[in-house]
Amino acid sequence: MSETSTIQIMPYTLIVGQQQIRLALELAYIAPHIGGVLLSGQRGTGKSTAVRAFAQIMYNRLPVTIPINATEDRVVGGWRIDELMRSKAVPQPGLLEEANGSLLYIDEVNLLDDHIVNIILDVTSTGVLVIQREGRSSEQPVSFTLVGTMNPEEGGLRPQLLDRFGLMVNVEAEQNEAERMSILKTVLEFDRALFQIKAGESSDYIDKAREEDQKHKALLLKARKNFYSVEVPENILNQCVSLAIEFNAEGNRGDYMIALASRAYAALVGAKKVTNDHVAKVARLGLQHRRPEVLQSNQMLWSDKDDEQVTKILNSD
Amino acid sequence: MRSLACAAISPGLRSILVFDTTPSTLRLAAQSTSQMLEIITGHQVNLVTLGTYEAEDHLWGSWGLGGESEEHLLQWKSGLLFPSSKEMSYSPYALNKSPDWFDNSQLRLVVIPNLTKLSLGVVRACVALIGTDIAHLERHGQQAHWQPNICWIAGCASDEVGMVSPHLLDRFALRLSGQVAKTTDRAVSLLEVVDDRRLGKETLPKPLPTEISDRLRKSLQVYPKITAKAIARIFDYTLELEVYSPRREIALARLSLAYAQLRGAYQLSPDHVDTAAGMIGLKKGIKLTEKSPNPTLEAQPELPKPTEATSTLTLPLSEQLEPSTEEEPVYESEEPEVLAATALTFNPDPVNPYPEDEAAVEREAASLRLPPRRFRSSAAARGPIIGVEKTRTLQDLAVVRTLLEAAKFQPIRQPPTANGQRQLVLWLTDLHCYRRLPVAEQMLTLVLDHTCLRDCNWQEELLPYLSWAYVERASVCLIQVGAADAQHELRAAKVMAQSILVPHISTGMEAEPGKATPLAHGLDLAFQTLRHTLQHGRSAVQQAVLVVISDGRGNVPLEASCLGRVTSPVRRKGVEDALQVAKRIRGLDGVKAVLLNPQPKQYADLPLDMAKALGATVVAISPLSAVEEV
Repeated sequence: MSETSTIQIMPYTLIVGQQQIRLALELAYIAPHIGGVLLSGQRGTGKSTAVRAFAQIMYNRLPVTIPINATEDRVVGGWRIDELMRSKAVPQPGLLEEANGSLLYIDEVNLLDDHIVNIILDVTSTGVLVIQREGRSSEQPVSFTLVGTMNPEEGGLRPQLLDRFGLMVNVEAEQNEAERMSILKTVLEFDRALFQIKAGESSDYIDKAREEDQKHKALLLKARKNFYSVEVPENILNQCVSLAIEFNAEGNRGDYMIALASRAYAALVGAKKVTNDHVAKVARLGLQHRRPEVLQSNQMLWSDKDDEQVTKILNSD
Repeated sequence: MRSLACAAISPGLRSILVFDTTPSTLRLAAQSTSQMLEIITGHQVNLVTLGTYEAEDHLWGSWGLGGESEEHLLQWKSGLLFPSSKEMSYSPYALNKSPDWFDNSQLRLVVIPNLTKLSLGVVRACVALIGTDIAHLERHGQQAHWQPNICWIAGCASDEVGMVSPHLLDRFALRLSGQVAKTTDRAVSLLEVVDDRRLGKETLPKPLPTEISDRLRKSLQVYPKITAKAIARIFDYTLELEVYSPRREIALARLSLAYAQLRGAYQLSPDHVDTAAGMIGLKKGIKLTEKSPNPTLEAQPELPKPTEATSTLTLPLSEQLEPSTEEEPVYESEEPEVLAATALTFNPDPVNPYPEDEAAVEREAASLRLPPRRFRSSAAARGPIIGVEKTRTLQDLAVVRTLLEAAKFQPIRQPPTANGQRQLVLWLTDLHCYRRLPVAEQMLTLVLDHTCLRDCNWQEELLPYLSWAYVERASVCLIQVGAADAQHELRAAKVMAQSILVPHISTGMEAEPGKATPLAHGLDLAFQTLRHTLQHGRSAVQQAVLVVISDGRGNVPLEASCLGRVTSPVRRKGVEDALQVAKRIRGLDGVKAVLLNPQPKQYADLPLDMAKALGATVVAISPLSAVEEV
């Protein structure tokens, strides 16, 4: 899948605003045990573009994608039909296997067929892909970072699937006028660059952005390498537990996710030790989709008061 | 017409939604767009029409019988939205198709005559394809991803826009108003229609004039410089929009740019933005109107005379770097020819391009999701087919899909015999049945007299019936009697919904009371609906619950409702008619009737008479004063 040359995706470093989307994707890359990132929010806010651009710089390819038209055989794996017709049984790997070790992207995750969701849930909860279908019988460990994008207007996710996403971003359109202007200018510049490329010319704009992308990639690779050397003091772990308790986080993964994400954040900013500030930066990402009220509503409600409560809990000791 | 040319020029605008248009106008618009796209891309454009029945396999592709050789029993049949391959001869089983494999010069123009009537499969495909950089196919052993090269043109009535998911609507970048300007002589048009010699002769669009073709070609050679003033003007239009979507700003910017390209301008000016905004019906925000009431800026898409255009275009560009915009008027005289040549006239004064921001929600919640399944094993082969799924029983078997599944494995399941004759071997794992939309088997009919609800706690008494409708997944028919917002105050109104969750039902129940109480008409509507639902054809509804909330004081005779005017003194006619219709409802089988009695202080017997005529059980509604005391 080396199609980078034929399909032009906006370079990652050109994406304006949406700091939370970028942060969540980067943290999940630095700490793969985070498991997944859910981007839920308004239409046209660049969720899919951000994911594709991120996969382009980090994996040099588009993300392995489960579209809403996917059938079971493509998700789990089946037989190569061309070989079957020649009386040879050659297994065809499914998308879950193809995504092993990288990023598995589900666009419109809330519109996915329930049946496919169940399969993904089985695999993500056990870490093992079991195939028992159409005469195939196999088992293999798989691990990937699950990234889903959705528009909550079209329905929410089942709590079990929601829980598989370590971090969650409630994406909102940038309301700030200067930011909006910057987005518009970037889109128009990118359109111009595509016009030039189509006309057979090169585009300095894109070339420079790709250079920036590479610098950013180096930064993330370094952070991933340093992840385990970042110290997590015991009091920070206690803070993570307190946060999960105070926010009534469903399940047992809330505190673990905050701890992982804050360590990844520390690695990203080049710190040697996790501090309260690092925890504060990621608390919302790890907590907002685990609160009990989310199960009653598709909207992820996180207010300034919640931020204040996080600060209060973190400063309590 | 200029807007269609702009859509042809700018790929980002190739999703067009035309409001309040006729199928023939839409078709004509599609044909004209197709001609212009052919000029811009240099390739033939294939027209595809999508409607109410296409399933996912039609759209994305499926395995079909009829390979090119005997060895190949099956062949992958590309779907309507799947691009064609670059290679003329390719393996029908080829996997992992990358973008290079596809013939991306092949452009499709997808025409959707009515956006509200699309099948679920098409709606989901539209959401996945419109405006996306990359499309993915992962079905039945096929794997492909490509850059969609599709132009979409859809029609939708602006007052039905609430039926369409905003998630889908938001993907349509260019909004046009398709009301045809009534400038033609109606008698002449009628004469054309009644002349049967014209029947069957489809109106073909005339070829585009060469000047237009040249202008379109030239537009590809220039990419206007974007000025800060133009960007600021775009924000003058979009900052005040009720709902902010980044796509709207981007669409206006792209339309302005494409228009500037069409005019051969070397830079994008605020005037281009004004004209583009006028094409889609965007009005200027308050801020701009207050600070610069420049009449020349108000000039809307009405084509300016050449002399006016010259002055308008040269004035605002104080920091103009490229004086070549002077060339623009050359094209001014050509535009009327475009309109005349194609006989296509969009509304010169378009309405709000984003009616979904204000429209009442008439769709089901989460309308893009595949429908939930009520039963693990559905015995009834009812409901429209929306696909196939695996099964272990023989009920409602999808025979072709089952045989195709088995065909894949034949060479492995049985060795070739000496005479080459083989019989198809079916395994249990091959079985597929149809997947169908769930069909309601029960119905809740609610006759709500809005004029008697003021002083009683009716919601609480109604709640068990609404809960029943939810639990049983019953369809719902709401008859509004005496609602303030009724289209005709002498008539009741009927709202039908597949389930109690459709927001239109709760909105309807909360309507304010009006002045008249056409109870007889309301009951008559209920009677007709019940009779049709329970007795007509192969209706799946087996049982209906009729809940009437009324004090029985109808004051509009049935005849007056039918005529739309009161002709004689009413007296007790409204009440008597209502009782008479109620007796007819009593005669229907399978209807369980309940009357919720609001216990009026005056004429307290009327609701009881009504209940008797309906054969309904009576449930008293406690007055609000009693509830408050408790």
